[in-house]
Amino acid sequence: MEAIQAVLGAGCTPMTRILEVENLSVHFKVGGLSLLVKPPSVKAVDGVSFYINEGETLGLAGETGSGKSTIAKVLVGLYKPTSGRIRFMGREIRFDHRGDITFLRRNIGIVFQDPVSSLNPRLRVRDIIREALVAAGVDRKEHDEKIAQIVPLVGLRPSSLNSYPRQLSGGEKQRVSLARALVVPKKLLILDEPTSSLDVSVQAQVLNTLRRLKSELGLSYLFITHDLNVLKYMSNRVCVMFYGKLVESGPTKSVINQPKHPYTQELVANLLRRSESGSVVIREHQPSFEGCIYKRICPYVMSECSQTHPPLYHVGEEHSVACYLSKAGILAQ
Amino acid sequence: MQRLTKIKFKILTLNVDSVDDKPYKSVSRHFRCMSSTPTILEERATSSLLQVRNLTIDYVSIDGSVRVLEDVSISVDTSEVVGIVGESGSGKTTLGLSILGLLDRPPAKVRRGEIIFDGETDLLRLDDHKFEKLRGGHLSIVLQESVEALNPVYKVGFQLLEALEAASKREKKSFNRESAKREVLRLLEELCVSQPSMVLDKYPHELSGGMRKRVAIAMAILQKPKLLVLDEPTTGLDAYVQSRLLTLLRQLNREYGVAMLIVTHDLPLAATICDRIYVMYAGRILEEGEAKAVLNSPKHPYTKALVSAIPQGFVDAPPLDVPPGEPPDLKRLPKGCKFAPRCPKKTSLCEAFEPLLLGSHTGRVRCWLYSDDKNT
Ligand SMILES: Nc1ncnc2c1ncn2[C@@H]1O[C@H](COP(=O)(O)OP(=O)(O)OP(=O)(O)O)[C@@H](O)[C@H]1O
Ligand SMILES: Nc1ncnc2c1ncn2[C@@H]1O[C@H](COP(=O)(O)OP(=O)(O)O)[C@@H](O)[C@H]1O
Ligand code: SF4
Ligand code: SF4
Ligand SMILES: [Mg+2]
Ligand SMILES: [Mg+2]
Repeated sequence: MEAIQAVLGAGCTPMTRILEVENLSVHFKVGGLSLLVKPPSVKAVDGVSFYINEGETLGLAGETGSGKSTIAKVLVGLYKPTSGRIRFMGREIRFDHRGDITFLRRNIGIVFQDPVSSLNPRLRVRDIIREALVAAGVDRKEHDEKIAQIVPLVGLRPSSLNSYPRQLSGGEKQRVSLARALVVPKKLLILDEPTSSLDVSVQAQVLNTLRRLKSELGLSYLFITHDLNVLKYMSNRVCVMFYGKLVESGPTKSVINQPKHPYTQELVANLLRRSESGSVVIREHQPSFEGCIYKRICPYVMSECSQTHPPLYHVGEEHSVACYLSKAGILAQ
Repeated sequence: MQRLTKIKFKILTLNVDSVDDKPYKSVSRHFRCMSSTPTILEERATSSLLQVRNLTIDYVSIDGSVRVLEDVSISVDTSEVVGIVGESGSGKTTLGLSILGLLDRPPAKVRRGEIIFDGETDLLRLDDHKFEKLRGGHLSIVLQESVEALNPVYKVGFQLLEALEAASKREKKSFNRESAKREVLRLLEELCVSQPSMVLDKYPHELSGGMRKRVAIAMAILQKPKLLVLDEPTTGLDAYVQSRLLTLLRQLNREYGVAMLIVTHDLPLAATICDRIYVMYAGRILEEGEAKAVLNSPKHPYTKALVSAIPQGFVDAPPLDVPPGEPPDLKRLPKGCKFAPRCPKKTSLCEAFEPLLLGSHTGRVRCWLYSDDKNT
């Protein structure tokens, strides 16, 4: 991390980093019932580094299965990393240490991608939200007031408090998870596709609310989304992932306006094409397990791309790219 | 997929009757002009593939009954792609499920209406056994919560092959496991699943959310339906996979004439793939029209609000335009126009009487602002 600051130059005063993730890898074993063959592993996250400044929103983009939710789950102690370091609020997190995990969970809130499986079907909405207050040790007497405050903020009708999850529509369920995550203010809130099942008007309401709450409560967000419009609108900086690897990161404006990695370029181009006509260019989308992860799809492959996956190169202020095309830049790490 | 005759000609649809309120007696509502026509299609083309007429559904519970669909009429023509767009809780899923006979009755109760599929069957009065057959065959659905489509105790590959085997049986074609497996793998690849053979060997819970969604979509496609209902098909999929999926769906539609009913809250998405769109609010259809027109020149104040709520710009952009007020509470709907409490253009007329869905074949709107366009 000091290396990054050194490259950035002494001129800029670094903001307080609430979260620093270095070289994070999470590998899952799959299959593996046979004793003869070594079980293959899925590198859901492979050597990923990023940081989040206090009061900032970091957007995490990348296609399905690229490891975004896995990162989120590591950060709330649901998965143990295979390797890598995580510092949160200045504290080095040891994943075999219960105190550290509790520390993470107390200060990091999360809204999951799938609203259905994350809500207990046997509890009424009021009690689902209340559970978060109990877990945070909030005084019982304050429960009703806190619940009454959060419900309109997330666009939920007060009458829904007495419903069970199955009685709510998909959008309503997603708003319950938001209420549960926001009812106890956290330092960092992870939003995993928080609005993907919401219609645009509720999405607009939730996005406005999230932006307002962030400055009011001094929150930081890790915002995971597939929707580039939402990503642009919400994040100060973005990280783009492809099959477990970080391929590009930087300030949102430079990444969207001057995408450097061929994959990011394609994402942005598809976004533009979709808003204009309807036709999209389709290419094979398989990762390569030798050399650059993007090699099999990349239109610019060069000979060195077959050797090793490229390191991160600097292409602008805080903007770095894992692609040999950007080699002229300074090595980021 | 060979079962479905390729459709290479254009179908023109003209609505003559425009008043939604009366149940129309026959199929005279739609005229079709077409060039050279294969015989099977000629027969089928004399009627819409799907007609939902005046569908009115309540959810009944001990707390009372709630009307979720009020007099909803929609139609899907052979090989047409139709979108249902609306706010959460507007009843889209209920509509989709009712077509597939998947509504739990009770608590759902059909008060009125009929669903005509393929010119004959009233789906609302079909028994479970017959529906089961129809669902595995001519009608197929991708549920909003894709988890539900997959059985957690069987591996993905087993379930996909089973779907394909059932489809072959129905078509009385021989089933070859090896070639079936190749077909499944090819389809998954088209849906951007990397290492599809590895996916076949996994249990549903081992897949990421977006992957599960794609497996569910593959499952529905393998059943080779005439009408495919997709409930929020793109939620949780990234922009790239979304466009890939849309291309695949369009291909399925163009080459095999599969008609689709796409239920989504994403208006721009619906506009890119659908021919026609219905906009729903509080269980009613508020606007109907040609897809691009609805997105680019929305008429109804609610549709306008939907369009202006789409995020635009970067983090320093101003807050988004949000329609004021809360989503409608179906238990306490206003007397007149259901959008009136949130409408910037409302008048006393709006609060007293609910407007009808009126207009011509180019589009219909349920709003007093457009009432003198045609027959008042
Ligand atoms: N089993 C049920 N019992 C009681 N009410 C229900 C039931 N299922 C749905 N509802 C209610 O019916 C209304 C419509 O639900 P539906 O799921 O059809 O909405 P939707 O348009 O699909 O929304 P979303 O896009 O958020 O899923 C909602 O107000 C919901 O709370
Ligand atoms: N519990 C698990 N067991 C095995 N593989 C998993 C598990 N959870 C996730 N994976 C795999 O890890 C990869 C990343 O998944 P995920 O983080 O959910 O992706 P995203 O959120 O970007 O869609 C995928 O290949 C997925 O199949
Ligand atoms: S490193 Fe090579 S293969 Fe990888 S993205 Fe850059 S040019 Fe393409
Ligand atoms: S009928 Fe009146 S209240 Fe309803 S949408 Fe039209 S102008 Fe607004
Ligand atoms: Mg995910
Ligand atoms: Mg729904």
